[in-house]
Amino acid sequence: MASKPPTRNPNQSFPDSEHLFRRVRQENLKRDGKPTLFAFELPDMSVNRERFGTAEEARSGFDQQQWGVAAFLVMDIPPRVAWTHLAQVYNLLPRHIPTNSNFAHTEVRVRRWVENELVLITHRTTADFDDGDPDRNAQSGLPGALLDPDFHMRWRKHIAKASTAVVLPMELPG
Amino acid sequence: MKATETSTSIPVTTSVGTSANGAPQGLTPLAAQFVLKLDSYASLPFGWNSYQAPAPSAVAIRNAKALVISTIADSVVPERVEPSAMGGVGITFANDHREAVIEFYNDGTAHALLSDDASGEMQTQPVSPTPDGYVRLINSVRKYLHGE
Repeated sequence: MASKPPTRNPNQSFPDSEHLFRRVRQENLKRDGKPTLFAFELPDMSVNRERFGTAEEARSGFDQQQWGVAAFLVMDIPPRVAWTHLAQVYNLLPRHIPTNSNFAHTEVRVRRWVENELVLITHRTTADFDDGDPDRNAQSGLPGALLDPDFHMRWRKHIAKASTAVVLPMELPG
Repeated sequence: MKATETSTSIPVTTSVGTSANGAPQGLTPLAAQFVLKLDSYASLPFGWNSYQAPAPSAVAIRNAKALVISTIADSVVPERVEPSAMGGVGITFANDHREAVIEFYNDGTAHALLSDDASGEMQTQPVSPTPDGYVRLINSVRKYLHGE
């Protein structure tokens, strides 16, 4: 749901070399600490951006025994390259969507070309977006209709492979 | 678009009861361990991953358990089971740099990804969560991971 916007303005400039941090529960980490693809999701995957917060801050308030933080780079998404799968072409990009309690909050959003138009794939309705959200008025469709498992599994595997564990939980899976 | 498979009734190929302490009976210790772990995901709440992950549904867990039991009976042993941020649960099989992951979704459908970390190759396929579908999947996983 739309929430009260934070007092600072979001910044939609993402250098390729910026890290994005994703909190990962112990169950979704391999023995070597790397996250599995099951730690990642589409659409609207929440992460924290490095420019406005540290990896440790991404775990703040969560049990250090059970939670770690994985990091990947903006260039790993990759934001300016179309992912072509069969006849489907997807486009992904990070969006800085600060919340009241977390200015670093960012979402990886996915769009798909449908009949020469980029359609945002999301569960949200227009009312669920904050007023300043750059995708508030985008043409959108539901994941069930537009997001093919053949695509999202490959993308999530790609991100899992590109990720490194930057904060490990105190207990790794046995 | 993927053809959606909506089968949700999964006959478990092995008769499984539970002992007084809740442990599944009639299974190898390893299969019982995976089944118990999958059962434990039934208590995960919405947002269990600290974001927006749906709680794994009963049908996703049931389908995954049926595959675990089938694979171990067929001597193909999973490496891990875990809840999925997409909603549902996942099973991973691995051998060296090759991996087969099966994702069981909350709506009763399932999908597989076979990948080779050395070459970067990835293949995906829908999985029919039925006994016949599991036989086809297990054969495909075995061949991909072990070349048999």
